Amino acid sequence: MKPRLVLVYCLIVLTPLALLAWVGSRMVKENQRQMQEQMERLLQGRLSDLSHTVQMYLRNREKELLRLTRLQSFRPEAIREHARQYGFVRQLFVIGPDSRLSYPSPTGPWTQEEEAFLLRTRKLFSYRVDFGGDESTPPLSNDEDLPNQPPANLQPNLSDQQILEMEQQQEASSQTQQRSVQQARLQVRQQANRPLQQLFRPPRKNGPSHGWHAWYWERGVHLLFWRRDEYGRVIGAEIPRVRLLSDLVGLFPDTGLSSAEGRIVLLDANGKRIYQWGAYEPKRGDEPAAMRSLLPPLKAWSLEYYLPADMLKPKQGEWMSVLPSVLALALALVGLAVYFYRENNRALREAAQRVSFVNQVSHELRTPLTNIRMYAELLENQVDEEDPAMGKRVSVILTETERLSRLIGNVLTFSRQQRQALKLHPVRAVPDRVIERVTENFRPAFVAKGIEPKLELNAGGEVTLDVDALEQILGNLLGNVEKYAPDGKSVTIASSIAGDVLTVTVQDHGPGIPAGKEETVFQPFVRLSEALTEGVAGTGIGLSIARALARMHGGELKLVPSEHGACFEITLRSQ
Amino acid sequence: MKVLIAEDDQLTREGLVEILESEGYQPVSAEDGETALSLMHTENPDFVCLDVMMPKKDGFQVCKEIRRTHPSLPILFISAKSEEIDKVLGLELGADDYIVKPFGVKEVIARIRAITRRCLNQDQSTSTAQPFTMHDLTVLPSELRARRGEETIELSLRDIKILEVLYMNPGKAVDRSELFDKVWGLSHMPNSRTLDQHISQLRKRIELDPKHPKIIQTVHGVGYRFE
Repeated sequence: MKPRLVLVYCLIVLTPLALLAWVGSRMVKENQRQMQEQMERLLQGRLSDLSHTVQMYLRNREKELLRLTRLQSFRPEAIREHARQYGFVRQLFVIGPDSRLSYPSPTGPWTQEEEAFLLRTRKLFSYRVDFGGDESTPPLSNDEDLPNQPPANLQPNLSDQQILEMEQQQEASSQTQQRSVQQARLQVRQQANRPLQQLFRPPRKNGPSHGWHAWYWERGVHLLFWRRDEYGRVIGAEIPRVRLLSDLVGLFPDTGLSSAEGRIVLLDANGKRIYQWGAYEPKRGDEPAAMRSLLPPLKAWSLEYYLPADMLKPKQGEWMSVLPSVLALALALVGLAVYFYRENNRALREAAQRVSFVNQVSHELRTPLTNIRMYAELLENQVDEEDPAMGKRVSVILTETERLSRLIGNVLTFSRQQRQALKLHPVRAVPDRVIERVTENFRPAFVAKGIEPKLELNAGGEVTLDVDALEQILGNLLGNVEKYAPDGKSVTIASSIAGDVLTVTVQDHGPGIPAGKEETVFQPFVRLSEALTEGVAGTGIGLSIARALARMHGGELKLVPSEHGACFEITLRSQ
Repeated sequence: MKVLIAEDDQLTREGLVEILESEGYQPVSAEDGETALSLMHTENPDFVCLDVMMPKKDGFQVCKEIRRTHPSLPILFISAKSEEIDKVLGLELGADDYIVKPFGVKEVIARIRAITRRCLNQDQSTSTAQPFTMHDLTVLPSELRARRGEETIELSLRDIKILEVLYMNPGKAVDRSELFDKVWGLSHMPNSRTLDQHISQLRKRIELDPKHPKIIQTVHGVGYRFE
């Protein structure tokens, strides 16, 4: 197979395959990207839901705290009593309109919890906390929006007593903490008499009336809720951290949830895990599939979502869904290429066989014909003039050989014409010599039928023409004269050259061509009326071939008007 | 003049040999391409008749190989007039001429004489290069022709040789054996009818009255004479 054809077939097969593979891979990647985005959105949505759950919890707490901070009495005993009714409050505090901390009293006496509160918040208050300023968190609800009863999902996992005990144990267990507590107590007492108004910023007149305040102490974020009343006082509550954690944990699913959802981790401000659920254990170095910070006031805390790596990676199945299509198309294209190649080869083989058949027939027919003619002519040279019968026999052999030769020539030419493989082979030649030679070849046949050839030749100059074509055209015309017009007893052949056009006319004196059949006679296999052609042998393609050859030669073969018989005019243009 | 005939068909080959012998040539024949190339080296012919479709090596291959060693040797292709004809006439093969099957004797003779003229014109060393006159007939050996006035008569090589022998011995009866030797060559011994038939055919072409010849006169029992 020619290299060029191989290249073409390769291009036909490989180009669409490459294109499909590229499109397929893009589609798969796009699909993966979309799935990943979808996954991220899903995870973010999940984390967002959790964050909103926390937010809802704090909102509901806020509503309770708003109610809680509406004190009927500001006497310390009343405040203490009031605080005891609410287990989720660790300590209440009041800051007067003069920006002084009025409860717990800076000068004492304090309960143990109050003293501990002052210790915890000494740094907080020493930095001039601006309730309602930038450090505070805006309210999550309005004052009027007070729940009639606590929401059912805020039932703590631990009892108030248990939480208090935990805190006390945590505070009491650290020796270092105890020493710092003692030092802090001393510091508090030393600050007791200092005017506190300088520690607090004056309340803003147009700021929010309540909110949250987060501050860092020891292990992490702590929350204060505060409310400013119509007198400018700030009443606040400290939410116990453990209680907060316990409530939040109660909002989240149990730790032992199946790995279907991976693992969600709640982290504090230091990145330390507070709580987690989901049976999947992230490996060292695993990155979370999604992260989200909680909403204020716990924005320092965050949620992380971990998923197994195989849930994140593109499934093999995705590629497998494209691969069969690519393979199927590849097979189809290869099959198509093979089919076209085989069809092409078959067509070429058939064409070659046809050519070979024509060549073979040509060779096989012409060779014995050559021998018959050659030996007949050699015999003719040795025929005694005294023996006319022998001469006639030899003449018949030569005549029929010539006729057979013309017949074979016509068939082969017709075959080439059908295959559009006719070609001209122009050479320099004298047309009159060709005419004389052809006429001479017909002499025995003409003599036998009593036809006298008359030559009126005026094309003695050299022109460029296909000699074989002229011979075949003329041979067919004279053959028709021999077959159809022997009774005319003569045939006139005239030639002339005008410019580059050779004109040869063949005029017989036979019955002629019936009116209306002037073009019909040139069609292959068309016979005129049975009366004319009865008993006449022939293939019916002679005139068709003759005209085709004349037209190939830039000329024409036509029937021209004649008083008697038929007159054919051949025009050939010099090549 | 030696001619190599390469033709696989026995009848065609033998027919061509007979035609060429009658023309006065020395034909050597081969039935396939390889034999033809072998004979090229041993016989050193003056021109070659090549059939196209031959066994072992076809005519095209033989032609190419001949051209390598004999670039100007005349080559006559014998073709069955198929698509091969384009190749035959191709400059690459360097064919000088071709005969299309089925061909007649006269056509072969015309083609071969044309080639012979070219060969003779190329070789000026032959003694028969100069024209000579026999009565009103002017013989042109290099053209293989004779002229009488405006009439031109085609002659074969053998015809020229016969006329040369008679011309070189004016008034002398040249006996048959001498004619055989000088015209047909010592190795060839045709019967007397061959000579008589040839003379008869020659007279038909060159004599004004073949029945009363003036140029080639019969010497009964001896041979022929030019007076």
